[in-house]
Amino acid sequence: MEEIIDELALGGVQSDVLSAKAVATLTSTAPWIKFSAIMGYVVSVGGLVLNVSTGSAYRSMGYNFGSGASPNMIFSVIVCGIAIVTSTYLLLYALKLEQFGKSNIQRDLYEAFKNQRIYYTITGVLCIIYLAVLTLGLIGGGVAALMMAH
Amino acid sequence: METTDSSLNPISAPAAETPLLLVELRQSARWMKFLSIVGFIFVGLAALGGLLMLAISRFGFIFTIVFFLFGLLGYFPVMFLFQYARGVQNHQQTGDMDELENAFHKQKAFWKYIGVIMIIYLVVILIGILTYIAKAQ
Repeated sequence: MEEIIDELALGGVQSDVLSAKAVATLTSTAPWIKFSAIMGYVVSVGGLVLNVSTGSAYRSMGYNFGSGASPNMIFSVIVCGIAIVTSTYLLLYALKLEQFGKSNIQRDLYEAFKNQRIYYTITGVLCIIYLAVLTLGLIGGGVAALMMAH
Repeated sequence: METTDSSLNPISAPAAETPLLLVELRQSARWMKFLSIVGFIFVGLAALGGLLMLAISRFGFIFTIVFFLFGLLGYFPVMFLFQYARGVQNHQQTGDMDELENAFHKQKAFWKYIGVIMIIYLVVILIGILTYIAKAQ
């Protein structure tokens, strides 16, 4: 019974909420989303590897960043981790869209849109954090410049 | 005697007011709109930065072109994302399926654009690496 109510909330078992044209457009978008998600993995992991190898090269040249991992390294690991999480949700969105294209089951489309919502929520929250840090940096920089001027 | 209870049949039963998948889509639309508005602000700042460079720098013209190019590159995906979000929200208000179809077309344009930019980026990186290797030998 619970399952039936669940399907009702989704709008039925088979897809009838969207038109055939809308479904066709959605499923044809999936390969591009998948490609972007895979590129997200490649760029984030590639960036981390490049950063680690550059750090090692500097260390071998005698530059000392102190004991343990440098702040730059920690920052790139965090950025890479976030990029992997967002890319995973993007990939899940694409995979569920492809699955929906084959099955035409409403639940697959619901799962796809859920992953899309999580992806955009994470991106939006990260954007707010970035804007807050940027604003604080600008205010801090302005205050520091004023203090140095006097 | 045979009794039929339509509530037990998910296909013939009346659907809930708003299917959950549309609820998810509309929640995404709010974030998409926010992200696209932030994107528009950054595109505007890039254009403004370009004009500023023209005024203050000796080589301002080159920087202006670079800033404008980045602004132009950023404008299209931001516009597509905004149109996608607006289409979903218009469908929410009017229930017009054409709005949703157009919105999905804009989403396709958005991801296609991002994909093509990434391919160009990869090609440029590859050319750079190959040039470096060729010069090193």
